[in-house]
Amino acid sequence: MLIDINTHAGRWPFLQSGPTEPAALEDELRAAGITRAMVSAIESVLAPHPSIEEQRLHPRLSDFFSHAPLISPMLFDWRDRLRQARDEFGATTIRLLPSYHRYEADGDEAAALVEAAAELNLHVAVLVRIEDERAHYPLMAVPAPTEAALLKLADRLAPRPLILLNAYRWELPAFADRPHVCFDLPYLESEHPFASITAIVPPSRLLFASHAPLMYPIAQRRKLDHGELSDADRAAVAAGNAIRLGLVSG
Amino acid sequence: MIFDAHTHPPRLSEPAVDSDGRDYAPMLARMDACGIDRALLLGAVGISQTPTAEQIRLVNDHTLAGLRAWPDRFSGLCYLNPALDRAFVHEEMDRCIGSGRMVGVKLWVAVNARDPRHDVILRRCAELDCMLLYHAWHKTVQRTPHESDPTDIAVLARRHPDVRMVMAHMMGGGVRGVSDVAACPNVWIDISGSAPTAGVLEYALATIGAQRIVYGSDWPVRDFATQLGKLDGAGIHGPDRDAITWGNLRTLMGSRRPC
Repeated sequence: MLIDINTHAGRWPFLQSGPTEPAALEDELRAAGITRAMVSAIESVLAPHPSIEEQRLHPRLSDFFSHAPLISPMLFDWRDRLRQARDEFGATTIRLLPSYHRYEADGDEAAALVEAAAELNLHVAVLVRIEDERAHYPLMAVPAPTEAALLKLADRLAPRPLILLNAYRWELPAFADRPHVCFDLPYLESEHPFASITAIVPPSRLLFASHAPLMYPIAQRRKLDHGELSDADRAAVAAGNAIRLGLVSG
Repeated sequence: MIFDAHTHPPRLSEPAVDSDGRDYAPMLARMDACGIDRALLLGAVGISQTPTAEQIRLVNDHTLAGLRAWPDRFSGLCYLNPALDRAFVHEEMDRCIGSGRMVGVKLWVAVNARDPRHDVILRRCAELDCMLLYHAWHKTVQRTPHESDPTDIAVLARRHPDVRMVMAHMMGGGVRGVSDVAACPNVWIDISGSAPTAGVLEYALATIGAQRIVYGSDWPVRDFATQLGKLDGAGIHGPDRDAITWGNLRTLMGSRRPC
């Protein structure tokens, strides 16, 4: 079993990218051996009302996908959108994107949203970034949230898990002593990816992900397959951790 | 066969002094684990973005140590700084390349590729019939003062059409970078570095063709397996894959290619 906790449906306007429609995305993910994927609408990153794009996406998703909609606490109806995520979309997790949606990860808006999410038993994942900052469109250089802001958010959520999506390897040490903070794989890469990562956080805090269609899912699969993890650790990163955390059902 | 066109030693910023080559062992172990047969060593260039002559010699001595210890696994490029004295540059090229020990030149960020101080290096590359590999990236942020982008490489390539050169970091240059050098037949592009971003390699295949693309990883900054996964992600197999993973690099190396 291989569960991908970070995929997107739709076209990111600044990249050629892979397949944009859910059905084609599913085909590419399955071809890479992925058996289940969490997804949100990439258009919700830049849309004036992100949740409208998530609402448009949901009917087009097969059972292969678990919808993890992007929600902004800057929307007037964000509480309704949280309930919609759980009740209509069957979501276990919502995604936050402070950088593009223009709020502080450690601010009052984020705090209110994560508290409400917890009351609805929804997990919280933060997209730290969409792209490598060096590749940002020059008129849209969007800095990632600071480590300090994310730490504060993590502490607000504790002991409930906080999933940081698209973190860089050098951002991990700041969260080493926050055992409830987990990370996905797309931007974690080095000379021996897992040896250097697991020196900072254990495999129990790592989650397989592809960041498709912006990245090749098969390349992330290769990272996992050649990671020289024990069978138990590989199984945990591949799917076990996502199931244990309740992000998807087994 | 897989010949990685863009690698550095395990300690990217600290070339071992008086190395016997054994410090390359972790790299070879990782190569073996990921199916990499041979690697082109570009040196511990992290020692400095604007290296002195002494630092250049240290880096190249360390590369030479790797080549001596593992001649069937490594080839090497001579790291240079075009800002250094012309006589030193010539001397170092002769020491490393003219001697037959290395197969070309590596340039990084000390001087922008448009700078005329490159001409002495590229004229010597043409005389020695050796290749050049040049770092380039289109960056919105974090650009170093003289860092080259693909348009700079295109200018250099047109000024020296008889030198075979690799522009590094296809995903860093993006589709715009591919377009920048598309009309320069003496420029190949390596796929090293950056995350396995989708779409650029497909564009390069359609625009410049598999014959002008080379596989490289930028190890240890990046992972062999993940970077190779770019070829899988773009659906590259068969003759095109062979060209990218070893055939094109052998073409670039010309008469200096390993047997």
